[in-house]
Amino acid sequence: MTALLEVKGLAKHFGGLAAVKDLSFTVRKGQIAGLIGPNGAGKTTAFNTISGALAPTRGRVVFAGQDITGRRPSAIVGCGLVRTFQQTTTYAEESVERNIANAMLSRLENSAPQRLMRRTSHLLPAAGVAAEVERIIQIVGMQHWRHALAGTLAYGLQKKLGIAIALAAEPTMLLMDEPAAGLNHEECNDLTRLLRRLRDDHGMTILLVEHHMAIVMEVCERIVVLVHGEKIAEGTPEELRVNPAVVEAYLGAPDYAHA
Amino acid sequence: MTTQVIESKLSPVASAPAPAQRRSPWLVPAALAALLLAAAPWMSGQFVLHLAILACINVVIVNGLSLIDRCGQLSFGHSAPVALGAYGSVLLASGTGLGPVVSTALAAIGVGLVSGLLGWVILRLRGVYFVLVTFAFAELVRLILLDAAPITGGANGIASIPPLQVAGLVFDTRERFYALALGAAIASVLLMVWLFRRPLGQALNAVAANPTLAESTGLSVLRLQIVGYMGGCMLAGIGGALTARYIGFISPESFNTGASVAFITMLVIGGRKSLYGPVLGALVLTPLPELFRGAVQTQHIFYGAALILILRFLPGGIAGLPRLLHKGVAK
Repeated sequence: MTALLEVKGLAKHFGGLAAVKDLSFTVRKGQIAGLIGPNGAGKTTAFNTISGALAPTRGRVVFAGQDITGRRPSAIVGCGLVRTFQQTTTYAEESVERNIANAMLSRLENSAPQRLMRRTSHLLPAAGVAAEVERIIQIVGMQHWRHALAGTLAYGLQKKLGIAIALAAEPTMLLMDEPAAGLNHEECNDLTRLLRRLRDDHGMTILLVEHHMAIVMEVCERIVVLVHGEKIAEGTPEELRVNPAVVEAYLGAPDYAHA
Repeated sequence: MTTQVIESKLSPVASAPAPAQRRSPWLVPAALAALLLAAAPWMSGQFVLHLAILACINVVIVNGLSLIDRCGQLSFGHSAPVALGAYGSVLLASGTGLGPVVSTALAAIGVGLVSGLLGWVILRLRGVYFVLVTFAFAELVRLILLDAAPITGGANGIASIPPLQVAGLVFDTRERFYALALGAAIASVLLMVWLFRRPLGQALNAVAANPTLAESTGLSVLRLQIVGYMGGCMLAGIGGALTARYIGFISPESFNTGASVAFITMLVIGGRKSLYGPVLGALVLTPLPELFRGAVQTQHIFYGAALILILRFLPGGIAGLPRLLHKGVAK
């Protein structure tokens, strides 16, 4: 197993505030990894810096052997690293099918968008779009809603559509920003199964930034814990459960620490 | 799985069949009416022909503005590429002895290059900031034209521009020029219809609808907006060249802020969401000043009021009217 995503010494400052300080970790191919931390720990900043929405102050991000530091988000997508959004982000006035098809525009073979984006990987012939849309609808299980307008869908379904849209951009790795936020218990279980299927059946590598501890502990093989912009621990869920620094960050210091 | 089945039964949208791509029953009557409308000016005298020619040129220019708007950016300086196209084609023709068609084509390409460079810088701005910079650029172009008197004639402009001549055919009468302007207007509409059926047009729509999502699915918002901006400015440049050849006179005042506002008014009143909006807007608003000849002062009040009323009650413009009426009837 080789490293697919390497984050090396990443830092992001906003004026005098260091939101992320010297963050390093790697995600190996085929892994489901998690980035967790209490509110304000810098998770979202780290996420946005990796996906290209923010330029880092220092440090490098290497994906599949290519240095993608500071590239535009669309260029990073072209390398196979695709993000999802914490809020529901869809083309609200278009159907579910159209939403998914829109996400394939940059990889349509011999099309103007593809040439403009100079995308050369995962090209799709125009005749294959319908079949590809269908394949993705099957993966996320949205068969019943294919013609519904995205804006009319329930919250959980809109988030699912967000994942479908990301899959349509043909990622080798998914960066997911709080996929469980706002979902009910049933939808969370559904999400867990979907994440496992994406990894096992579709060879996807996944990095979650997540608040929902149960999901992270259940699906992630490797977890990075961020507190005040710094990595305080990294390991398997079992290791972290008994790591005093992590327990303190989440539950506060135990009484004996003050003694 | 069971929850999905139940939800699908509860939700009316979920089980609704795909909206079929059928032709509207109004298509044939509408096409006939358009044909009659297009042919009418030839039989209605010089004044109507004059208005028809101006309306056709405005269709080309407002289609350009619509193309920029459909990438998610509003230009408040659309008179600038019109002016550059007009002055460019006339000065190229008089300075180099090139034919009017070649000089117009070169001017359009020039406008494309200038707007591409400008767009690369200013399309990083969003919303009102972009609007303001386009306004400033248009003023800059106007002031340069005014100041560069040795070349552009300054405030006096350039007069007695020879009529357009293509392979021995001189477009020196209104009847002939109308044929040319009508052809240009139809070509610009067909270009828009064709573009927005292709992946590039869909990508532009995606960028306008949700730039963040478009960017995160591999579409470079900046590059696509530059392409749309260049195309829109080139259409405006061609419109400007046609104006110069038809009127035979251009001056910086022909391309002031009032002109930019007029183009936006046409787009908004016609309908921003529809490919036929620019056509309707140009057709309705070009002849309108003639109705207000006796009341030049109140004309602008009327425009302002119309704009506010349309934005408030008819956000889809005139082109959105049938759908609104249809909804009203359905209720």
